[in-house]
Amino acid sequence: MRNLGKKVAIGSLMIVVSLAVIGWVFLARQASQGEEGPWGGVDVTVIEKYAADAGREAREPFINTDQGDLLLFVFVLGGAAGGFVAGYNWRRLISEKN
Amino acid sequence: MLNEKAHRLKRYIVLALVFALGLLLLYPIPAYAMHIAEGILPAYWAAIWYIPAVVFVGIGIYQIKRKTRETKAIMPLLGLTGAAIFLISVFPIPVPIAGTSSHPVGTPLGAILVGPFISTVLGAIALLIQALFLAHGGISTWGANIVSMALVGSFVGFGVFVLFKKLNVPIFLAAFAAGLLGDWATYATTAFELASALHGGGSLWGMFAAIVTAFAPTQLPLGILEGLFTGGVVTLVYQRRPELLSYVWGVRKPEPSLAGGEKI
Repeated sequence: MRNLGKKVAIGSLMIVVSLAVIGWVFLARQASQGEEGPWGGVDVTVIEKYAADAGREAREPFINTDQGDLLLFVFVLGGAAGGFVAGYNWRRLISEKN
Repeated sequence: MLNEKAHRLKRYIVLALVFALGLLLLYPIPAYAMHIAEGILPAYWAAIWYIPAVVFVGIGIYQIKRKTRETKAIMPLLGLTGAAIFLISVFPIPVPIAGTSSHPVGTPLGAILVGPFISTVLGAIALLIQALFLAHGGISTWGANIVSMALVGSFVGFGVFVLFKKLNVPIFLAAFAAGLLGDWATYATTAFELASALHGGGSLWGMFAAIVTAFAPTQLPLGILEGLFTGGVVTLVYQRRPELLSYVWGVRKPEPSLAGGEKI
């Protein structure tokens, strides 16, 4: 009985993944790319598109770092700080047995 | 001799991959993602999503307080999980064929490592930092983004993982399913949040289906990627420190100790 559940779970997972790959390939041509061209994010191509259709526009963030290279700076800073914290704690947990 | 060369080549390839991944992580491109931006939701709808967010984050904070009072040794696990959720959820990934970009959510992995309530808190903190400093999401829409990414991602991922483990599915596949379905559930919830606020006089489920279909070309493959990543990390942790997983929900119960040699 337990093995049956396991087989059903793994089988269902394989079917879902196969359907997802097929769905991706078939739906890919329908993906809207928005005004910014290819590789645009779904926040613009989907969320903001449907919001605009409903008469809602995205507002500027309260702290607008999307100015010049400022956004790049905060992304690098956030990535570096997050990477450091993750790496430091990974070492403490995985490498340092004592 | 041949073996040594193959071994060296393998090391070079691994190093190159790690270097490429590092460059990708640090490459400064703005994140384009599923977070709902400031002003998209009407004020009352934005406020409604704060209610479940506050309840679940409150329970999560209580759990963190209780667990850290019991042992400080859980702190590295919280630090690792929080940083991982933050990084994963601002990591834009271009999707071939579709020509769009989006990001994984990271909260299914977080829920497997620290439990769904605590993962919800860590996801909420990541979303707050992104909304404040990375022009990514919003303060008024923080509640809605917490519900979709932090809450639903955590609980669906955790539920699927526990269910698959109960069915004796291998750990990689259980974590893979958790990452896959947690990711898709997050985007389905975002679609519902948008449709419920914006359908106006039209059909709620019609708009929901349209938004889900618009997400699909990007998010179907990204869900698979998130599943593979979650499966890989959980398997690695399970092989190296299985007690980290048994601490949360009991994969097996070897000597339970965390960093610093402190018993839990």
